[in-house]
Amino acid sequence: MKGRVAVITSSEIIRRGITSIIKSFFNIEVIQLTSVSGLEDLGTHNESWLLVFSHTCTGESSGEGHSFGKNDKIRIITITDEQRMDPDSNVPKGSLHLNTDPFEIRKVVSDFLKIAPARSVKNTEGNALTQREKEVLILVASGLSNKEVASRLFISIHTVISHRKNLIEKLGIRSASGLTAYAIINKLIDPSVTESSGLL
Amino acid sequence: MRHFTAEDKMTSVIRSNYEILPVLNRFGIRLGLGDVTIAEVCDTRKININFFLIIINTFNHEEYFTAEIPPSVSPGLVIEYLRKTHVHYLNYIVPRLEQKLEKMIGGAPSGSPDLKVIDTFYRKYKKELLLHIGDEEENTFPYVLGLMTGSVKPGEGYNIKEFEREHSNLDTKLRDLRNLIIKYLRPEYDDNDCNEFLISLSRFEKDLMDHARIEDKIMVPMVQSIEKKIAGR
Repeated sequence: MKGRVAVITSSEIIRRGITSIIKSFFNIEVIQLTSVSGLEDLGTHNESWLLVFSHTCTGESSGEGHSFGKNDKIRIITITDEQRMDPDSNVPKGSLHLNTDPFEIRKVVSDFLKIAPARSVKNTEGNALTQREKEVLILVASGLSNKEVASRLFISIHTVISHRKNLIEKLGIRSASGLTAYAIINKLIDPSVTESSGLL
Repeated sequence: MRHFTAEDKMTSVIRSNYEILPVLNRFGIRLGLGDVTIAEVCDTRKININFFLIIINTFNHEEYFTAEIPPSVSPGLVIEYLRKTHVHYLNYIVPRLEQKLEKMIGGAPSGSPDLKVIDTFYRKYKKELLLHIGDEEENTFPYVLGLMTGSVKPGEGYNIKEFEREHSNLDTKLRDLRNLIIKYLRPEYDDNDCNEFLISLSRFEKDLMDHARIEDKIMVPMVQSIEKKIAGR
């Protein structure tokens, strides 16, 4: 069964930090989500998932209490900063301390990939777009707002925003007209559509 | 690079970073300086030295912000400098940048569709930049100067809080343009033409960031404190 890895936390700093640590060790796709609700859109069937949550004093994001907690296709690891925990010991199974050595994260991911190997990313930078991201990109590049994209793809607006953040990170392009230019250059949309509309 | 003080030689300011030359020109400082210090140049040219030090140090150090702007640095002084920067952009930088882009497009096989996209994107960006500069000249600056003379009341027809957002929007577009060329454009152009355009673009990007920093971190807080003072009366 194919394995996939997702980092789920509302903190952009922690999310991007953990993602970049994982990517520095493994040439795999790491999905970044701000909340667990975005997972539903990714279709978790027929795949094994490693979900990395962060549970900090101020953060709310945690894998606890979710229905998939007992699903054997899903493995959960929580990064926590709780004071009572010593970074080196007494950390409950399935948790890592925020101050832990990145190699500990590598070990968790490596153990997971032994059971469920992940598809390696084709692009050497690890920046290939997922099918869903491509769909979002095309709609945004064609001039649709986040809200319109959400209703067109039957996903929540939060998921659209999360896809857009991934697009920014992968492509290095943030503005809607920049995405339009990218989509034309890469022949994802027909330039004649955008020419008349003033999108670009 | 360390922070410059009044006793430093003007030549050391230039030697440490040649990109600062247009900034000096905006103060009317030209070359042939001899061995004069910053203090001496400012004295001869009747330049407010506190303001001059703020400007050259923020240009070299993004994180350099004087905790408190000296009272001698008035909003009028800041606006005068910002206006000179606008003139420099409109009369020199933007036209030169455009010439370089045109040369790059002209040197490529005719009808390169990718370059046409880059050209359209640039023109859209330029339009927004000109609108923004025009808005500052026609609305922001008169509002600030009006506050100073008392002819305008705080918040009357203008909201200074909206200001910063527009900057980050323009920065984003310029960064996108740079990334589109570096990462995605097929190299169907003359390398030297492209290099020249990109180098000019990145210089402009840096200068604009500095310009926006002066507006966001010096002018806006100044205006907000004046607004507060007037409201408290």
